[in-house]
Amino acid sequence: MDQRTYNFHVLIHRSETAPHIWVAHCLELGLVSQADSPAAARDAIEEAVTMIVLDDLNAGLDPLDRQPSEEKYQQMAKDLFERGRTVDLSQDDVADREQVSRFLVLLQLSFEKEASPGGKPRAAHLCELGYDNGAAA
Amino acid sequence: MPYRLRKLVKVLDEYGIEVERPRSGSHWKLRAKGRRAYVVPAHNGWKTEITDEYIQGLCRHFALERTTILSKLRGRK
Repeated sequence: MDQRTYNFHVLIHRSETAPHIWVAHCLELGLVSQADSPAAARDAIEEAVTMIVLDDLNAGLDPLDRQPSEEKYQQMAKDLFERGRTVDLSQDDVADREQVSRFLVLLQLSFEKEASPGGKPRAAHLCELGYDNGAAA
Repeated sequence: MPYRLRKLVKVLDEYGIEVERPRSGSHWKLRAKGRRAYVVPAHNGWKTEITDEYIQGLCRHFALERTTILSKLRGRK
């Protein structure tokens, strides 16, 4: 089947001003979403990315031709690549149990070439990394 | 501090940014003339708490002055 596959880097961290909320950034698209747990934030940004990519494809636009996230978030993601360890975000208490404050998810979305407004992509989380505040300093 | 989605949508309306509510899902679409769509998390409807980080990303996308938007959000009843 003719498909378009996109790989996105998703950074997830606690909000600085509202620590009960986890914020998720899609670094390539400059998109932000949020939720009350790391896993929910991951799912939220996946939905947001899907909506935006479909919107762009249906308008004949390249989704990757968007302004990426700010440099500070790119840097956080780079640090996670270098020092993060594999975690399982699907565990509800992963942040507390693993003492992890930031996560990086590699999200792969595959769209049929002729995307329809209601079309849903195939999604895969290729890698989930996390590290604690101490490592981030 | 987080802001309610209801307040944010009212402020965005001043800038000609319109909200489109899909039939399903937990995000609403934001559209402005000449700009690509953006989305806003709306899992708790109008009461959804919106973080500073989200507003930062939103302002970056629509080329809005963040301090002005935050000031309007703080001042709005």
